[in-house]
Formats: sequence, C-alpha cells, structure tokens
Amino acid sequence: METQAIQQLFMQHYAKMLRVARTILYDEQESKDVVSDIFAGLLHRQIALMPDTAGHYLLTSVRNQCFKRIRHQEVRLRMEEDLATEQAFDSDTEDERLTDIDEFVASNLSAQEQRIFRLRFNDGCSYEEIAAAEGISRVAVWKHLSHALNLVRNHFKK
Amino acid sequence: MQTPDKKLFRDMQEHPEKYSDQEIEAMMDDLDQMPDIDAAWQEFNHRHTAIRTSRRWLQIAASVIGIIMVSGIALAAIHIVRHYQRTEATQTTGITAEADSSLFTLHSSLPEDTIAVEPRVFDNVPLDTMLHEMAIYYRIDVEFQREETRQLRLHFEWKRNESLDRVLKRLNNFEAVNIIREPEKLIVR
Repeated sequence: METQAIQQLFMQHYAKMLRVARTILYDEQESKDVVSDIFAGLLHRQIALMPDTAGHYLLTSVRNQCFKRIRHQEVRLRMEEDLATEQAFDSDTEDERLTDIDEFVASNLSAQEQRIFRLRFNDGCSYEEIAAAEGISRVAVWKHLSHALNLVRNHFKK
Repeated sequence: MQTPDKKLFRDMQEHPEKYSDQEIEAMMDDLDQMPDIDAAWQEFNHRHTAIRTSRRWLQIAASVIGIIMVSGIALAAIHIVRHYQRTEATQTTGITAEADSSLFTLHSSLPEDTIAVEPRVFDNVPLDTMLHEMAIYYRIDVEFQREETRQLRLHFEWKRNESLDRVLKRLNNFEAVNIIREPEKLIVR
C-alpha cells in the first residue's frame, strides 16, 4: 500500500486503535508497538481496504494481536513456572481461537454486554461514548466490560 | 497515558468491586487519553518509510538496467538485420523492391516490440479504469456485480506479455478483489 493511503488511515484510526490496545494490554509502549506493527504490515502487503470496512478491519487486527500477545506471555509464564508442561505454540489453533472470540461473545455474554464489548472493541468508542449510548454511568460500563473481558480471557487461556 | 501498572489494571478488571468509583474513573481517563497522533505518525514514518525509499531507488535502478538491456538487445537485432540485409544484397544482385521493403519492415518493427514489454503501472487507479484498459487489450468484456468495487483503488503493474489468466491470478491476490473468467467476459464479484 502507498504511504499516502496509510497516512490517511493512520490519522483516522490511530486513536481508536490505541484505545483498544490499551484496554487489553494496559501498557503504553506495547500498545503503540501493536498498532504500529499493523500499519507496517500494510506497507509491505498488496492489500486494498474498502473505506467503509477499513476501520473495522484495523480494530479487529488490533484486538486479535493483543490477545495473541497476552497468550504468548501467559504461555511463557506457565512454562517458566512449571518446566514439565511442554506446551508447543501452535499458530494454526491460535488463529482458530481468534475467530472464536466473536462466536464466544455472541453465545456467552448478555445482550447488553455484547453491545458494550462491540462498542469498545469493534468501534473503538471511549467509555464516555459507550455510557451515553447505553444510558448508564461510566463506572457501570467499566464493570460490564471487565466482566466480559474476564470471560473472554479465561476462555482464551484454556 | 501515565506509567503503566499492569497489576492494578488487571486487578481492577477482575475485582472492580474492590475499588472506589473515583479510582475507576481515573483509570478510564487514563485509558481514553488522546494520543498525539501527528507525533505518532512522524515516528512511524521515520522508522518505516526510510527503508522504503531506499528500496524504491533499487527498483528505479533495476528498471534502468532493464531498459538498457532491452535497448541493447534491440540495437543488436538491428545490427544483425542490417548485416543480413547487406550480405543478402551483395549475394543476389537482382533482388526485388518488394523483398527489400519486407526486410525493412522486419528490422524497423523489432525495437518497438521489445520496448512494449515495459509494464504499465497503475498507481492508485480505480479497478474500473484498469480492467477496462486490460479488457480492450485481451478482447474480453467486463461485468461488475457490485458498483462499489469499481471505485476500488489499487497499485498494480501490468505486463502486457503476461497471459490474461496470469494477470487475473495476480489481481486476485488483493484481498478485496475477486474476478472470475468466463469464456466471453470477466465477472468482478
């Protein structure tokens, strides 16, 4: 992809992408790295993004990369703690797991939590925006989102 | 965002009931803080596009070498044809004007053919325009099933000496492109 096209996407989506990454990783540098890697990937690939789906594609990529990272870290931790468990890292099952997230969200979360989860991760909304959309307080948004995220994380750990 | 404290963040997510509303509010303010997008772009641009420019130079260098080689071959071809023409003329003195002119067309058409191998570069050109041009060349019709696909802008290098199937295969490598070839026309899905 051409630099100019990437700059346009960068300006438009960077803030939202970083927001999604922060919510999962809570590490500024790591979050920046994930977002920057995704744009770097666009530079080197022949890929055309349709204007109406580009945002969704980018945000989903951020979400998947972040979960992947967390999982890598957790697997590494577990291996350090218990050398007997030799768990090979299989990237194929990894990708399947990622496509599972949406399915898991749809079948295990309440309707409201699903909406909140999607507003945050698929649309990159701020807590403020979600609170306004749902007519609840910001703290309530945090609680719903935490619950959803914990479920996803636990499912993902297996 | 302030100095990260992953443990606190994790705990606040797993057990939000342990924290006061103010603490949670502060955490959310932190997470939603607007980044400096311009600075982030500068940094990204600096880190990633510097490598690209040098690669662009390599590409230019490669195509210049290509052009030199092609013209070299063309010159050699002209030379051979001229040489052949001369020996032919000396051997058979009674050569007809017709044969002469056919030899002339042969040698004059040579360089032109060789240069046509230069790829046609479409840069940020709508798929519509691109396929239209190719369709004329390969004498085939094009049908778009979805209107918005017409405006899809791509960067693509088209080599006319490639078969249509090969070109389609390369175009279909783009994630958003799906073209099927039927006997009489191309269908863009």
